[in-house]
Amino acid sequence: MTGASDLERFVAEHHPRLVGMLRLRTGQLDLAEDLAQEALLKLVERWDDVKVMDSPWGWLATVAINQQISVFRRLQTRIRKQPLLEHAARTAAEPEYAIEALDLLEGLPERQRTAVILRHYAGLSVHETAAAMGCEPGTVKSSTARARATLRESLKEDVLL
Amino acid sequence: MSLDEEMRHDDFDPDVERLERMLQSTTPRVSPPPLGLLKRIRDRRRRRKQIASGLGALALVAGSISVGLVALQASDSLLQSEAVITTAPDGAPITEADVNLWLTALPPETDASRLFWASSLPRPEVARDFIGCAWVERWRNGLADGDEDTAARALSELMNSEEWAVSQALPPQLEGFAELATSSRFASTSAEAEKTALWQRCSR
Repeated sequence: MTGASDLERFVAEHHPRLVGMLRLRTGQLDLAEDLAQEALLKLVERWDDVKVMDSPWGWLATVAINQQISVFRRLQTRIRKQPLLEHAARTAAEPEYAIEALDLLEGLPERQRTAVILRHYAGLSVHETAAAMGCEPGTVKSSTARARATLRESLKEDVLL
Repeated sequence: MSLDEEMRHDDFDPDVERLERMLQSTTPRVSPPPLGLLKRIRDRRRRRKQIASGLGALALVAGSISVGLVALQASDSLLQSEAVITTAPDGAPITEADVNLWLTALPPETDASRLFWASSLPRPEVARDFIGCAWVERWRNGLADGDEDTAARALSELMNSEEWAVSQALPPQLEGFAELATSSRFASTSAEAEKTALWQRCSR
């Protein structure tokens, strides 16, 4: 098995989730794809080191999130979340759930949303999430707990789920 | 219960399962960029970085040599027919009188680096003609303690850059001169501030 095919398989497997995670963060599919490509370029550059890590996906997700935060900081403004729902309806694997999910996430404070996305969408561990967010693991736990409580209330009235 | 155990417990929470299912449903239907494309982008960026580094080195070399030209004119009167040969940081022409002022105002051990920063726009086409001049030799000797490793690396990047066609046109003497011009001694001089201060002090 060659290094290139390992990399190719890894990229194929994780790319949709990478873009999905970045879209949940940015609200825009095009921007998410651009940021994902930048993260993949870093992956290509460092694949030999990354592939032997405990969690190559955790590394890639962290790089992508840090990059997204850095881009947003540079712009000093949050990029406007336009046609989020239209994008979701058009591009999600299960559009009817996606619209609801994206709508619910929008209602969460920034830190809670980030914690939920990294933990429950990207599938990072508590420690990986804490490292990506630059906070303590306890903060991740409390943020996700509060977010879940909020979402639970919202979902009580949800007929789709 | 440890943090990880607590989180594992959370993972069995049906609400969490439902939340994760809901979030997974947002995954877009996208195709990854071809690996070949990513590698081409990576290679292009690497080349661009090398070229940028090479251009920086050339700017230093050209700037340095144009100062050499100024000094030659001032001290040896080799170019008596041209009084104005380059421009100052503020865009004004530099005259022989300016150069004489600089030379007398500067301590001898730093005149080369200070003159370097007092130089203006790179003029490689002129600089090439004066590569082997005696003034350059003096400068080379005066800067023998420069960081030649850094200079050599910069030069190597410049010369190995496949898109750097200009390097083909430069004479072999440039190599040694480029090492001097890109040495840490020059780099450590705070360029703009020093240049401006010098110019203010010496301006007519």
